[in-house]
Amino acid sequence: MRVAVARGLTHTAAAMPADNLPTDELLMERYRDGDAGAFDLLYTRHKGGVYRYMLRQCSERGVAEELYQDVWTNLIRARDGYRVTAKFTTWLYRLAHNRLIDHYRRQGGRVAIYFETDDNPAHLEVPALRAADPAVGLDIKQQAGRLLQLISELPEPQREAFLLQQESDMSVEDIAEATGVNRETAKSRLRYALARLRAGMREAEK
Amino acid sequence: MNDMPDSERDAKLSSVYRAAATDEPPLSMDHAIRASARRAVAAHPRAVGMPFIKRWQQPLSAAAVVVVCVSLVTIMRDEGGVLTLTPRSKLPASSAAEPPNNARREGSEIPNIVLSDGRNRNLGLKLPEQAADRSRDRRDAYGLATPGSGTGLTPPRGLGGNPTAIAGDAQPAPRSAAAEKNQAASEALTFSASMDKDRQSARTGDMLASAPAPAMREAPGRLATGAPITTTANRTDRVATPSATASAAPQTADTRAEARALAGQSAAENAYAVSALAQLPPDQWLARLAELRRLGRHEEARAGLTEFRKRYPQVALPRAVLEGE
Repeated sequence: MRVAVARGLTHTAAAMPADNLPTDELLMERYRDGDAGAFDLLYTRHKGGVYRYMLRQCSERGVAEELYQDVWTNLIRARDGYRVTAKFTTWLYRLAHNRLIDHYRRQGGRVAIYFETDDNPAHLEVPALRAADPAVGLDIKQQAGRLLQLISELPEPQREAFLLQQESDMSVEDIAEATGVNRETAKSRLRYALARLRAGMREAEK
Repeated sequence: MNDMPDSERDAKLSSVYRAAATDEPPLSMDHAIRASARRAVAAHPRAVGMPFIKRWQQPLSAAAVVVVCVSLVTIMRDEGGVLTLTPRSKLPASSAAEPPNNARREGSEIPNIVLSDGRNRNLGLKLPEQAADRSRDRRDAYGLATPGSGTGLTPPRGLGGNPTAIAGDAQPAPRSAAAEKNQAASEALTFSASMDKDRQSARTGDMLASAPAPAMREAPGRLATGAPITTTANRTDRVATPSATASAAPQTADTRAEARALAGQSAAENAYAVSALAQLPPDQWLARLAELRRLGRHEEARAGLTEFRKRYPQVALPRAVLEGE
């Protein structure tokens, strides 16, 4: 299956392919066939998203950078077997997800298994502010800081789902494929993550 | 996704997150990863144009296989064109009586039979050694590479070209007496040359073993060494009773005399045929020569052509007449 047009990414201007630019899948095929320049463009598009995905999932920057480098190294090793069966971003973040799972396992099985259901209200609890700011109405920088704090306090699956949506503009189906779960689970994780973040941001604005 | 419902996407949260998403990997790490990617490409270079080859690799392979198969089939068909099916009724009686068996060899077993339920069953039967010898001799005499049921290999046209004539009990083709003798002599030569030595007389065996095939075609009535060969009568006797050759030594003198007489007869008959041709008008003469070529009677055709050239040197000769020259 060939994906016709790569979707635009969210934040980085360089990561947003215009209509006349080659798609991620085409670039990866070119790199597989020996075009190193295609990898440069591909890397420029996705380096920020993957880096932040790792950075938000790990507590230490050094560990995140090591995992980030491993993801790209694994991609380079796997280039010969690359086939366009899904979006490139799904494949890339699947590599990142797997590397993260490996890291968690080596850390002693810190992977939390969550079975999110609609009747599990525990996941809707809003984490308390660690450094509550009495000022009402935070500026954008403060809001961003608050959001990052809330993200770091999310359960890992919910955090991952939210980051995948924000960093790579994935759909629920893509998130499900990248994380190896079914669509309903991915949708539930994303919904709970958004609910907790909204609640936390509202509380901070009060 | 942009088409996500509001419950799965929050624009405000996204805008805030974008403001927070300013982290980028260190430049040193960028350089390291890019260099690693280039090294990987350099270590296992693949042509940028490879996708075209990869796309056409399987179709081209399949096409090549088809071409090779068709070529092989065509070649095999062309080479197999000399094989003709001879009805079993026209083979020698003892050969026709044998069951069709592709695996018969000296002392070999009769192959499995297929039972009604589809299973094979080995009867454990063996051909008698004498019968196996006889069958093999006959097959060798006919020049069969692989024994088959009721199939015979057509001898070269220069050697007669009629497998039924070898069988002995077959109806002879309508030919002149001289042609019959020439053909019979050549067939006797072919038959005898392929027989086992222990089934031939010493002199006959030595004589025939030294006869190369091209010489046989050139002078079917005589051996390359000039020795006369057996006659039609002897040939048919040997086909019917191969053991009769064991007593061939006393008959060799007679055989030589007969062959010598046959050769002399052939020359006389050729001269007679030439004289008969000479009485025809040129166009009919040429037509007759072409017919002789077609029938494989090259000796007569050659003699007639020589005479024709003497008498009508200005006449252009058609290709059919010159075949075999």
